[in-house]
Amino acid sequence: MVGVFSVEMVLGLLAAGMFISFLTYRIKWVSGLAAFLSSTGAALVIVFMGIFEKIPGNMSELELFDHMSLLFDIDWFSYLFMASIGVIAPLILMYSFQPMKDAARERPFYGLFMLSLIGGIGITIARDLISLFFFWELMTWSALLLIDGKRKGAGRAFKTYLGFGMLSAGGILTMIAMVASTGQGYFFSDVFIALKDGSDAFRIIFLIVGMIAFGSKAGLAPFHIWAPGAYAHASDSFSAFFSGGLSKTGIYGTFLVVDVFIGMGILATYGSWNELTGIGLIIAIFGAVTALIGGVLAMFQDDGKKLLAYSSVSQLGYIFVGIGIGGSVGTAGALYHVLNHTLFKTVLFMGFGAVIYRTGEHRLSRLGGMIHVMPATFWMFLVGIFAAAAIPITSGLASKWLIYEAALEKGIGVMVPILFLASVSAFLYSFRILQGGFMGQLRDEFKDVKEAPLTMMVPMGIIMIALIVFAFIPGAPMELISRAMQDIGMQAPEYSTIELGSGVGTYSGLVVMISTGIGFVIACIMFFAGPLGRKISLRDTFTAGEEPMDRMDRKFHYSWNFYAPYERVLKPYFNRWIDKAWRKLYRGANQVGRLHRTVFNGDVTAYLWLIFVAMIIVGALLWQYGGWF
Amino acid sequence: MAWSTQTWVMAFLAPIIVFMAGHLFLGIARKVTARIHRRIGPPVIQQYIDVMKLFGKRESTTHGWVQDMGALFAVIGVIVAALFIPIGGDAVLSFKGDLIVLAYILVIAPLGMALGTGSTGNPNSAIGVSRGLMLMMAYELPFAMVLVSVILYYDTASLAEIVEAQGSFKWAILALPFSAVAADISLQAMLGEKPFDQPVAPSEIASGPMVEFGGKYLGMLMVWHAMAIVVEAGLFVNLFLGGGAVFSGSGVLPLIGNIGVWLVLTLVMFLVSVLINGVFGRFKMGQSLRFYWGFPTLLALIGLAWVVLNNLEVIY
Amino acid sequence: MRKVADWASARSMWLLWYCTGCGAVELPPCFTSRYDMERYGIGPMATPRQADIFLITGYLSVKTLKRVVRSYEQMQDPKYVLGHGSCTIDGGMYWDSYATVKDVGLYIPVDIYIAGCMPRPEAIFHAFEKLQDMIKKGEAAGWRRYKDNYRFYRDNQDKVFKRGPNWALEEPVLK
Repeated sequence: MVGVFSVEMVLGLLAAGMFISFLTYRIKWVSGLAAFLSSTGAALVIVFMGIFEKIPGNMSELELFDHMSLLFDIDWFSYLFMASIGVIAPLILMYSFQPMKDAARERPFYGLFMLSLIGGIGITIARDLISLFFFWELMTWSALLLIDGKRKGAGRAFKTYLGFGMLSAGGILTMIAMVASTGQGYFFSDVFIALKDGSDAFRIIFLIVGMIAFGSKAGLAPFHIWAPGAYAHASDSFSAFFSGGLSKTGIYGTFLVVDVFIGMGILATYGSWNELTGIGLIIAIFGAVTALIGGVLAMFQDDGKKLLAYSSVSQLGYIFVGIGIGGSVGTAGALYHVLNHTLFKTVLFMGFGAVIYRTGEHRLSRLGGMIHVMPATFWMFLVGIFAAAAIPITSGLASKWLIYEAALEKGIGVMVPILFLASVSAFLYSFRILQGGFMGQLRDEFKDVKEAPLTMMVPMGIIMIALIVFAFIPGAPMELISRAMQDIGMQAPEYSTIELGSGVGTYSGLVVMISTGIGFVIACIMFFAGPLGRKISLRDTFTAGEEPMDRMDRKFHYSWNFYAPYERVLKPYFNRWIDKAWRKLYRGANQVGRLHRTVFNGDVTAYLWLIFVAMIIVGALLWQYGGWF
Repeated sequence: MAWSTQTWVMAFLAPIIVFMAGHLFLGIARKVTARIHRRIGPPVIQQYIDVMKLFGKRESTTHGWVQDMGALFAVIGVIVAALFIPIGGDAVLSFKGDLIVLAYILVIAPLGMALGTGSTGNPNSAIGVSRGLMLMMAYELPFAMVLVSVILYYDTASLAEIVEAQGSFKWAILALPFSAVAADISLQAMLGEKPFDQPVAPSEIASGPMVEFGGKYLGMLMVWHAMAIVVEAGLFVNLFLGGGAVFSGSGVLPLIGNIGVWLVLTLVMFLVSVLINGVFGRFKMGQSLRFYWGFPTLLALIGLAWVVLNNLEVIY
Repeated sequence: MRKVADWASARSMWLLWYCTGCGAVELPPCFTSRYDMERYGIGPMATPRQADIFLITGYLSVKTLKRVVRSYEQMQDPKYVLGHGSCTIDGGMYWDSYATVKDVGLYIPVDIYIAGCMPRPEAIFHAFEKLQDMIKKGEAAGWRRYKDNYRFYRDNQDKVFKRGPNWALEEPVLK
C-alpha cells in the first residue's frame, strides 16, 4: 500500500508536474503553475514525511525484466539530501515566474527543471546502482539543456559540462561493472558485500573511481573546471537550483562511496593515526585545496555569476574536508554545511539573478549602486553573503566551526590555516560583489530600475529568515543531522537547541546573538549622543575640491580590476593551469579520435567496400561457428 | 557559562574599560611618536578631546542610513569582540571553542564598516576597504598558524582556558617563541600601523574608508579604532603573555590588579608597534603580501611544526 | 554642554590640508619638530568632511576660489577660516592682477586674518591661540555668518565663477 507520505507520492507528484509542464510548454504560465504546484506538493509531502517520521519507509521494489528490479527506500540520511533539494525547488520555481514570463524564447524550461528535480530526488532514494545511474543521467542531461547559449563562453561551458558529465557517467558505470565482476548484483547491499570481501586493490580502485565520478559533480579539484562555466551560463533562475541543490548529489554520492559502501572502519586499516584515516586525510587535503582555489579565483572574477560559481566550488571544498576528516564532528560539520550552503547559495544566486533580471547586466564592472533602487534585494543578498562568509550573526558559522573543530581535534592543525585563508578569500569576494554590484555610485541608466518583483522577493525572504533564525538555534538542524548520521552508523556530537558541542569546545549561537544585542544597545547610545545626520546626495562626495565635469556615475565607481595587486602577485600560481592541463588532454583525445578518419573518410565507395568486407567476415564466422548452413 | 550579576556588570564594564583605555593608549602613542620625532607632542588625553569635539559638532553629514549602519556595525563588532576577550583573566562571555569564533567576530567590524563606506559613493573608500581586506588575507596566514599552534599546545580552543594555563608566569612566549614573534609581526598589520597602514593611507587614498565620515560618524570610527587596538593587542597578551592573570584569588582587589596588569601589558605590546610605526614608511600592497607569506609564515610554520612534533606520540 | 563642546573644539582643531597658494610653504615647518603644531591638538586631515579649519594660504586665484568654496561647503559646522598672508587681506603682492581675488571675505567668511608675506610659524601660532580664545568665548562664528548672509556670498561668488550641473551641494539650510 502506498501511503500518502511516501516516496512514491513524491515521485508521482513530480512526474505528473513534469509531464504537464512539458506538454504545455508553449503556454508559459500553465507550464510554470503546474511545475510550481507539483513541486510544492512534493515539498509538503517531504516535510510531513519528516514530521510524521515515516522514515525509514518500506523498501519498494520495481520489477523491470525477469531478473532485474530496482530498489527504492528512504532513510534519514537520504532524507536530509532529499529535503534540501526538494524544499528549495518550489521557492526557486516561484522565483522564476517573472523572468520566464518575460523571456523571449520559448523553451521547455519548467519541464527540464522538473526533470532535473526528479533526477536529484531519485538519486537520494535509489538503493541500487542502476536506478542511481538512471536518475543521475536524468539530472545531468536536463541540466545540460538548460545552459543558455547567449553569452560568450557559453559554448565552451556546454562542452566542458558535457565532458565531465560523461566522466561521471563513465565512473558510475565502471563501479557497476566492478561490482558485477565479483559476481554480486547491483543492489547497495551487494556493493557493500563485494567491497567487504574484495581485495585491497579492488577497494582502492573503487574508491578512486567513485571519488572521480561523484567528486566532479560536486566540484572537487581538479575536476571542478566545469562548474564556473556551467553555473554562470545556466539560465539565471536555474543557476540557483543547479548550484544550491543539484551539486549536493555529488556530496551524497561521495558519502555513499566513503561511508556506506566502504566504510571508514575499513579505510582505517590503510593507515591511520589519532583516529584519522590516511585516505581521509588525502580527501581532506583535496577539499582544502579546492576551497582555496575556488576562493582565490572567485576574487578575480568580473562576471557576478562566475564569482558565485567559484564561491560554490570553494564552499563545497569545505564539505570534502569534513567528509575526509570523518568522525562524529567532521561528518556533522559536513552535513550541516550541506544544509547551510543550500540555503545561502540559493539566496545569493536569486539576489544576483534579480539584479540581472532588472538591469540586463551581469558584469560587476557595469553595475553599481543597486542598493538605492533595490534595497530589499540588497538586504536579502547581504544575509546570504554573511552566511557564506561565516559571520557569526547568521547560521553560516556553525557548520564551519564544526569543521575547524574536527580538524583541530584530530590534530591536523595544518589544514586550519589553509581553510582560514579560504575563508578570508570569502570575505574578499563577498566585498567585491557587494561593492561592485550594490554599492557605490548608481549609474544613470539604472536610475529607474524597479525593485525585484514580489514573486522573487518572497522566496528570498523565506530563506533569509531561516538563516537568521538558525543563528539563534544552531541546534535545530542538528536534530535532523544526528538522525542522518545514525543511519550511516555514526554518533552525532552533543548539542542542545542553542549550543553545539565538539570534543574541544562548544559554540553557543544564542550567546553570540545576545552579545550582538548588547553591542547594539551601547552603540545606539553613542549614536544618538550626537546630532542627527544631515542627508546628502550620492553625488556630493569628496572629489578633492573639483566639480566633476562628466559622468560621475561611471568614473566614480570602483568595480573594475578589484584586487589588482593580488592578481599581479598570485596570477602566476593560479593561472588556471588546471584548465590548461584539461585542455591539453582534450586536444590529445581529439587527435586520437581523429584517427578514425583514416578509415571512415567520407568517401562512398570506401563505405561500400567496408560493407562488402564486413559481410564476408560475418559470413565466414557464421560458417565456422553457426552451424546453420 | 553563567549569567550571574557579575557577568552582567562586566558586560557593561568591559566595553567601558576598553573604551577608556583605548583612547589613553592612542594618546600615549602620539606622545611617544612625537618624542621619536624629537617633538613635544599632544597631551595624552588628546584623543578624548578629539572624540568629544567630533560628537560636539553641530551637524554631521551622511549619505543615508546605510552609512549610519556602517558606523554602528563597526562599534557593535568591536564591542562584541571586547565581550569575548578575557580582560585580566575574566572574560564576560567565554565558552569553549571561542578562539575560532573570536577570529570571525573580529571581522564583523571591518565588514560592517565596508558596507557603510561603500554607500558613500566615493571610490576612495572602496579602495581603502579592498586594501584592508587584501592586507587581512596577507597576515591571516601566519596568524592562523599561530592560533593553531597555541590551540594544539594547550589542547583547548577556549581563550579563558589558555589564559588559565599560563598562570604563575608560565607564559606562552617562553614556550612558543617563534609563534610569538610571528604573531607580533601579524599584529602590526592588524593594528594598521606602518609599514602596513595601506587601508588608511591619508595621502594616497584620502584616508580610505573614512573619507566621507565626519562629525559624530567619524567619532564612532575613532571609538572603533581605539577599542580595536586594545582588543587586538589584548588578544596577543592573552595568547602569549599570560593574559594578566597574575593575582589569584577571588574578590574585587585581585580582579582589579589583574585588569591593571593586562592593560599595562597591552600598552607595552601596542608601544612596540608604535615604535616600529615611527620609523617606517609604507609598503605597497604587493610587497605586503609577499612579505607576509614569506618570513612570518616561515616563523609560524616553524612554531607549528615544533608543537605538532612535540604532541605526536608516533612520528610518521 | 555647549561650553564643553566648544572647549573640546578649541583644544582639538583639524586643518584641511589644502595648500591653496604659495603661503602654504610655511605650514610644513609648523607641524614638524621645530614648531610642533600637534601639541595644540592641531593636525592635518585629508578631506573636508573631517576638518574644522580651513587655511587660505596665500593668494587665491579665481580658479582656486571655486574649489575653495566647494571644499568649504563640504565641511561641517562649526568651521573656521583663517586668512593666511597679506594676499587674503587686500591682494598683497598681487594687488593688480586680473586673476586673483582681492578680498577673500567677500566670498567666504573669514574669522582671522594673519598679515605677513608670508607669516612665520610664530605668527601662525599666535593666530591659532587667538582662534582658540575666540572659540571658547563663542566669537568665532564665521559659519553662522555664511548661513545668515548666504545670498550676499553667493552673489559675489556667481560674479566670479559659475557652478556647473554636477555641483551637487545643497544650499546651506538656515537654522
